[in-house]
Amino acid sequence: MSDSQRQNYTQKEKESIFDKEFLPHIGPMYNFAYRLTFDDDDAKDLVQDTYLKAYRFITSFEQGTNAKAWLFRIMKNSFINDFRKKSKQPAKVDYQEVETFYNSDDVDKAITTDLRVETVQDMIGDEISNALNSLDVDFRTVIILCDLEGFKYDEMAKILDIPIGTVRSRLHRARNLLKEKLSDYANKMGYKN
Amino acid sequence: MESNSTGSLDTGGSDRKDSNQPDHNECLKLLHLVLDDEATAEQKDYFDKHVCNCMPYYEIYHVDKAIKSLVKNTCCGKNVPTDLADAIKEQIFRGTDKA
Repeated sequence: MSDSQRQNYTQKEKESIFDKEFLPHIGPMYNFAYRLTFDDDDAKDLVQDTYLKAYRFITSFEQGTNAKAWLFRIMKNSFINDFRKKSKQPAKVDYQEVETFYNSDDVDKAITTDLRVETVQDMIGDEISNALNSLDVDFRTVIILCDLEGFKYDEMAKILDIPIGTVRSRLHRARNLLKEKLSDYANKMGYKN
Repeated sequence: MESNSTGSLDTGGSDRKDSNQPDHNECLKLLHLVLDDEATAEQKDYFDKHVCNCMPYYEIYHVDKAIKSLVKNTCCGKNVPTDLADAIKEQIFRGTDKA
Protein backbone atom coordinates (compact mmCIF):
# COMPACT_ATOMS: atom_id res chain seq x y z
CA MET A 1 0.00 0.00 0.00
CA SER A 2 1.39 3.41 -0.94
CA ASP A 3 1.53 6.30 1.52
CA SER A 4 -1.34 7.99 -0.29
CA GLN A 5 -3.55 4.96 0.38
CA ARG A 6 -2.79 4.89 4.09
CA GLN A 7 -5.51 6.18 6.35
CA ASN A 8 -4.96 9.12 8.62
CA TYR A 9 -6.67 8.11 11.83
CA THR A 10 -6.63 10.01 15.09
CA GLN A 11 -5.88 8.06 18.25
CA LYS A 12 -9.58 8.13 19.12
CA GLU A 13 -10.54 6.77 15.68
CA LYS A 14 -7.98 3.99 15.98
CA GLU A 15 -9.41 2.92 19.31
CA SER A 16 -12.93 3.07 17.92
CA ILE A 17 -12.02 0.91 14.90
CA PHE A 18 -10.26 -1.54 17.15
CA ASP A 19 -13.25 -1.84 19.50
CA LYS A 20 -16.03 -1.78 16.92
CA GLU A 21 -14.53 -3.48 13.87
CA PHE A 22 -11.74 -5.75 15.12
CA LEU A 23 -12.68 -7.04 18.56
CA PRO A 24 -16.15 -8.36 17.59
CA HIS A 25 -14.34 -11.04 15.52
CA ILE A 26 -12.38 -12.43 18.44
CA GLY A 27 -14.62 -15.54 18.64
CA PRO A 28 -14.04 -16.76 15.07
CA MET A 29 -10.41 -15.67 15.33
CA TYR A 30 -9.84 -17.79 18.42
CA ASN A 31 -11.61 -20.75 16.88
CA PHE A 32 -9.47 -20.47 13.74
CA ALA A 33 -6.32 -20.13 15.84
CA TYR A 34 -7.22 -23.19 17.85
CA ARG A 35 -7.92 -25.24 14.73
CA LEU A 36 -4.55 -24.23 13.35
CA THR A 37 -2.50 -24.90 16.48
CA PHE A 38 -4.57 -27.46 18.48
CA ASP A 39 -3.31 -25.87 21.69
CA ASP A 40 -5.12 -23.39 23.95
CA ASP A 41 -2.02 -21.40 24.84
CA ASP A 42 -0.72 -21.28 21.28
CA ALA A 43 -4.18 -20.20 20.11
CA LYS A 44 -4.23 -17.37 22.66
CA ASP A 45 -0.75 -16.26 21.61
CA LEU A 46 -1.70 -16.36 17.93
CA VAL A 47 -4.85 -14.28 18.50
CA GLN A 48 -2.92 -11.81 20.63
CA ASP A 49 -0.15 -11.54 18.06
CA THR A 50 -2.70 -11.00 15.29
CA TYR A 51 -4.47 -8.18 17.12
CA LEU A 52 -1.18 -6.49 17.99
CA LYS A 53 -0.18 -6.55 14.32
CA ALA A 54 -3.64 -5.37 13.26
CA TYR A 55 -3.32 -2.36 15.53
CA ARG A 56 0.25 -1.67 14.46
CA PHE A 57 -0.81 -1.61 10.81
CA ILE A 58 -4.23 -0.05 11.36
CA THR A 59 -3.49 2.76 8.88
CA SER A 60 -3.51 0.09 6.14
CA PHE A 61 -7.07 -0.79 7.04
CA GLU A 62 -9.85 1.17 5.41
CA GLN A 63 -12.73 1.71 7.80
CA GLY A 64 -15.93 -0.05 6.75
CA THR A 65 -14.18 -2.67 4.59
CA ASN A 66 -14.05 -6.37 5.46
CA ALA A 67 -12.28 -6.35 8.84
CA LYS A 68 -12.83 -10.04 9.42
CA ALA A 69 -11.11 -11.06 6.18
CA TRP A 70 -8.28 -8.60 6.91
CA LEU A 71 -7.76 -10.08 10.39
CA PHE A 72 -7.88 -13.65 9.10
CA ARG A 73 -5.25 -12.78 6.52
CA ILE A 74 -2.96 -11.39 9.22
CA MET A 75 -3.53 -14.48 11.35
CA LYS A 76 -2.79 -16.83 8.46
CA ASN A 77 0.46 -15.01 7.74
CA SER A 78 1.42 -14.96 11.43
CA PHE A 79 0.78 -18.66 11.67
CA ILE A 80 2.90 -19.45 8.61
CA ASN A 81 5.73 -17.07 9.46
CA ASP A 82 5.98 -17.52 13.21
CA PHE A 83 3.91 -20.30 14.68
CA ARG A 84 4.35 -23.02 12.10
CA LYS A 85 8.09 -23.03 12.72
CA LYS A 86 7.76 -23.71 16.41
CA SER A 87 4.40 -25.49 16.32
CA LYS A 88 3.96 -28.91 17.82
CA GLN A 89 2.18 -29.77 14.58
CA PRO A 90 4.74 -29.53 11.78
CA ALA A 91 3.63 -28.70 8.27
CA LYS A 92 2.94 -31.90 6.44
CA VAL A 93 1.83 -30.75 3.03
CA ASP A 94 4.26 -31.30 0.22
CA TYR A 95 3.44 -28.26 -1.91
CA GLN A 96 4.96 -29.67 -5.05
CA GLU A 97 2.79 -32.72 -4.72
CA VAL A 98 -0.27 -30.62 -3.97
CA GLU A 99 0.16 -28.25 -6.88
CA THR A 100 0.94 -31.12 -9.23
CA PHE A 101 -2.27 -32.72 -8.11
CA TYR A 102 -4.25 -29.52 -8.65
CA ASN A 103 -3.03 -29.38 -12.19
CA SER A 104 -3.95 -32.98 -12.93
CA ASP A 105 -7.28 -34.34 -14.15
CA ASP A 106 -7.73 -36.23 -10.89
CA VAL A 107 -8.79 -33.10 -9.09
CA ASP A 108 -12.14 -33.04 -10.85
CA LYS A 109 -13.05 -36.65 -10.32
CA ALA A 110 -16.01 -37.31 -8.08
CA ILE A 111 -15.21 -39.10 -4.89
CA THR A 112 -16.99 -42.40 -4.91
CA THR A 113 -17.24 -43.19 -1.23
CA ASP A 114 -20.27 -45.08 -0.03
CA LEU A 115 -21.29 -42.26 2.28
CA ARG A 116 -24.98 -41.52 2.41
CA VAL A 117 -26.78 -38.48 3.73
CA GLU A 118 -28.35 -40.53 6.52
CA THR A 119 -24.95 -41.85 7.59
CA VAL A 120 -23.53 -38.33 7.78
CA GLN A 121 -26.52 -37.09 9.72
CA ASP A 122 -26.12 -39.93 12.22
CA MET A 123 -22.58 -38.83 13.00
CA ILE A 124 -21.92 -36.74 16.06
CA GLY A 125 -19.85 -33.60 16.26
CA ASP A 126 -16.71 -35.31 17.53
CA GLU A 127 -16.46 -37.47 14.43
CA ILE A 128 -16.68 -34.48 12.09
CA SER A 129 -14.34 -32.44 14.25
CA ASN A 130 -11.74 -35.22 14.47
CA ALA A 131 -11.89 -35.81 10.73
CA LEU A 132 -11.45 -32.10 10.05
CA ASN A 133 -8.56 -31.85 12.51
CA SER A 134 -6.81 -34.78 10.86
CA LEU A 135 -6.53 -32.95 7.52
CA ASP A 136 -3.28 -31.23 6.64
CA VAL A 137 -3.37 -27.59 7.61
CA ASP A 138 -3.86 -26.17 4.10
CA PHE A 139 -6.86 -28.39 3.42
CA ARG A 140 -8.24 -27.80 6.91
CA THR A 141 -7.92 -24.06 6.43
CA VAL A 142 -10.02 -23.84 3.26
CA ILE A 143 -12.83 -25.83 4.87
CA ILE A 144 -12.76 -23.63 7.97
CA LEU A 145 -12.78 -20.44 5.93
CA CYS A 146 -15.55 -21.57 3.60
CA ASP A 147 -17.84 -23.84 5.60
CA LEU A 148 -17.32 -22.52 9.11
CA GLU A 149 -16.77 -18.83 8.52
CA GLY A 150 -18.71 -18.41 5.30
CA PHE A 151 -16.04 -16.54 3.36
CA LYS A 152 -16.61 -16.24 -0.38
CA TYR A 153 -14.06 -17.61 -2.85
CA ASP A 154 -12.67 -14.15 -3.66
CA GLU A 155 -12.23 -13.36 0.03
CA MET A 156 -10.48 -16.69 0.59
CA ALA A 157 -8.17 -15.98 -2.35
CA LYS A 158 -7.12 -12.72 -0.68
CA ILE A 159 -6.72 -14.27 2.75
CA LEU A 160 -4.63 -17.14 1.41
CA ASP A 161 -2.79 -15.25 -1.33
CA ILE A 162 -3.72 -17.77 -3.99
CA PRO A 163 -5.80 -17.55 -7.19
CA ILE A 164 -9.54 -18.25 -6.99
CA GLY A 165 -9.08 -21.33 -9.17
CA THR A 166 -6.67 -22.75 -6.60
CA VAL A 167 -9.12 -21.95 -3.80
CA ARG A 168 -11.79 -23.96 -5.62
CA SER A 169 -9.61 -26.94 -6.44
CA ARG A 170 -8.08 -27.01 -2.95
CA LEU A 171 -11.55 -26.88 -1.42
CA HIS A 172 -12.72 -29.67 -3.69
CA ARG A 173 -9.74 -31.80 -2.74
CA ALA A 174 -10.19 -31.01 0.97
CA ARG A 175 -13.83 -32.07 0.86
CA ASN A 176 -12.95 -35.32 -0.84
CA LEU A 177 -10.32 -36.06 1.81
CA LEU A 178 -12.81 -35.25 4.55
CA LYS A 179 -15.35 -37.59 2.95
CA GLU A 180 -12.79 -40.37 2.71
CA LYS A 181 -12.03 -40.02 6.41
CA LEU A 182 -15.70 -39.98 7.35
CA SER A 183 -16.35 -42.96 5.12
CA ASP A 184 -13.50 -44.93 6.73
CA TYR A 185 -14.89 -44.02 10.11
CA ALA A 186 -18.43 -45.05 9.13
CA ASN A 187 -17.19 -48.40 7.85
CA LYS A 188 -15.13 -49.00 10.99
CA MET A 189 -18.06 -48.21 13.23
CA GLY A 190 -20.39 -50.41 11.22
CA TYR A 191 -22.74 -47.70 10.01
CA LYS A 192 -25.09 -49.16 7.47
CA ASN A 193 -24.68 -47.52 4.07
CA MET B 1 -22.87 -24.57 -21.12
CA GLU B 2 -24.38 -27.82 -22.36
CA SER B 3 -28.03 -28.27 -21.48
CA ASN B 4 -28.43 -32.01 -21.83
CA SER B 5 -27.12 -33.13 -18.45
CA THR B 6 -29.65 -35.63 -17.28
CA GLY B 7 -27.63 -38.80 -17.77
CA SER B 8 -26.12 -40.90 -15.03
CA LEU B 9 -22.61 -40.38 -13.68
CA ASP B 10 -19.96 -41.34 -16.18
CA THR B 11 -17.16 -42.86 -14.14
CA GLY B 12 -14.84 -42.25 -17.04
CA GLY B 13 -14.70 -38.58 -16.05
CA SER B 14 -13.91 -36.03 -18.69
CA ASP B 15 -12.18 -38.42 -21.08
CA ARG B 16 -15.34 -38.99 -23.02
CA LYS B 17 -16.52 -36.07 -25.10
CA ASP B 18 -19.80 -37.46 -26.40
CA SER B 19 -22.25 -34.66 -27.18
CA ASN B 20 -25.08 -36.73 -25.67
CA GLN B 21 -23.27 -37.04 -22.38
CA PRO B 22 -22.92 -34.28 -19.81
CA ASP B 23 -19.52 -32.77 -19.14
CA HIS B 24 -18.99 -34.24 -15.69
CA ASN B 25 -16.14 -31.95 -14.74
CA GLU B 26 -18.43 -29.03 -15.41
CA CYS B 27 -21.22 -30.67 -13.38
CA LEU B 28 -18.89 -31.17 -10.43
CA LYS B 29 -17.67 -27.59 -10.58
CA LEU B 30 -21.27 -26.43 -10.74
CA LEU B 31 -22.20 -28.60 -7.79
CA HIS B 32 -19.58 -26.90 -5.63
CA LEU B 33 -20.56 -23.43 -6.83
CA VAL B 34 -24.17 -24.10 -5.83
CA LEU B 35 -23.11 -25.67 -2.54
CA ASP B 36 -21.07 -22.57 -1.66
CA ASP B 37 -23.69 -20.13 -2.90
CA GLU B 38 -21.30 -18.88 -5.57
CA ALA B 39 -23.32 -19.86 -8.63
CA THR B 40 -24.86 -17.24 -10.91
CA ALA B 41 -28.62 -17.29 -11.48
CA GLU B 42 -28.03 -19.01 -14.82
CA GLN B 43 -25.80 -21.69 -13.28
CA LYS B 44 -28.27 -22.25 -10.46
CA ASP B 45 -31.08 -22.61 -12.96
CA TYR B 46 -29.07 -25.15 -14.97
CA PHE B 47 -28.27 -27.04 -11.79
CA ASP B 48 -31.92 -27.16 -10.70
CA LYS B 49 -33.09 -28.29 -14.14
CA HIS B 50 -30.43 -30.83 -15.01
CA VAL B 51 -27.84 -31.75 -12.41
CA CYS B 52 -30.40 -32.23 -9.65
CA ASN B 53 -32.14 -34.84 -11.81
CA CYS B 54 -28.98 -36.88 -12.13
CA MET B 55 -29.05 -39.37 -9.27
CA PRO B 56 -25.30 -39.69 -8.60
CA TYR B 57 -24.82 -35.93 -8.55
CA TYR B 58 -27.95 -35.53 -6.48
CA GLU B 59 -26.42 -37.91 -3.90
CA ILE B 60 -23.02 -36.22 -3.95
CA TYR B 61 -24.62 -32.81 -3.57
CA HIS B 62 -26.71 -33.82 -0.58
CA VAL B 63 -23.84 -35.65 1.16
CA ASP B 64 -21.60 -32.60 0.66
CA LYS B 65 -24.36 -30.33 1.90
CA ALA B 66 -24.90 -32.47 5.02
CA ILE B 67 -21.16 -32.46 5.79
CA LYS B 68 -20.93 -28.70 5.25
CA SER B 69 -23.84 -28.17 7.60
CA LEU B 70 -22.36 -30.47 10.26
CA VAL B 71 -18.99 -28.76 10.05
CA LYS B 72 -20.67 -25.40 10.56
CA ASN B 73 -22.78 -26.58 13.47
CA THR B 74 -20.20 -28.63 15.34
CA CYS B 75 -16.77 -27.10 14.79
CA CYS B 76 -17.24 -23.50 15.86
CA GLY B 77 -17.93 -23.84 19.55
CA LYS B 78 -14.47 -23.07 20.94
CA ASN B 79 -15.01 -20.65 23.82
CA VAL B 80 -12.77 -17.61 23.90
CA PRO B 81 -10.90 -17.26 27.22
CA THR B 82 -12.75 -14.57 29.13
CA ASP B 83 -9.66 -12.49 29.81
CA LEU B 84 -8.25 -12.53 26.29
CA ALA B 85 -9.88 -9.38 24.88
CA ASP B 86 -8.93 -7.36 27.97
CA ALA B 87 -5.37 -8.72 27.90
CA ILE B 88 -4.99 -7.70 24.25
CA LYS B 89 -6.39 -4.22 24.85
CA GLU B 90 -4.22 -3.78 27.90
CA GLN B 91 -1.12 -4.70 25.93
CA ILE B 92 -1.95 -2.47 22.97
CA PHE B 93 -3.06 0.64 24.79
CA ARG B 94 -0.38 0.37 27.45
CA GLY B 95 2.10 0.39 24.54
CA THR B 96 0.33 3.41 23.05
CA ASP B 97 0.57 5.30 26.34
CA LYS B 98 4.30 4.69 26.47
CA ALA B 99 4.69 5.90 22.91
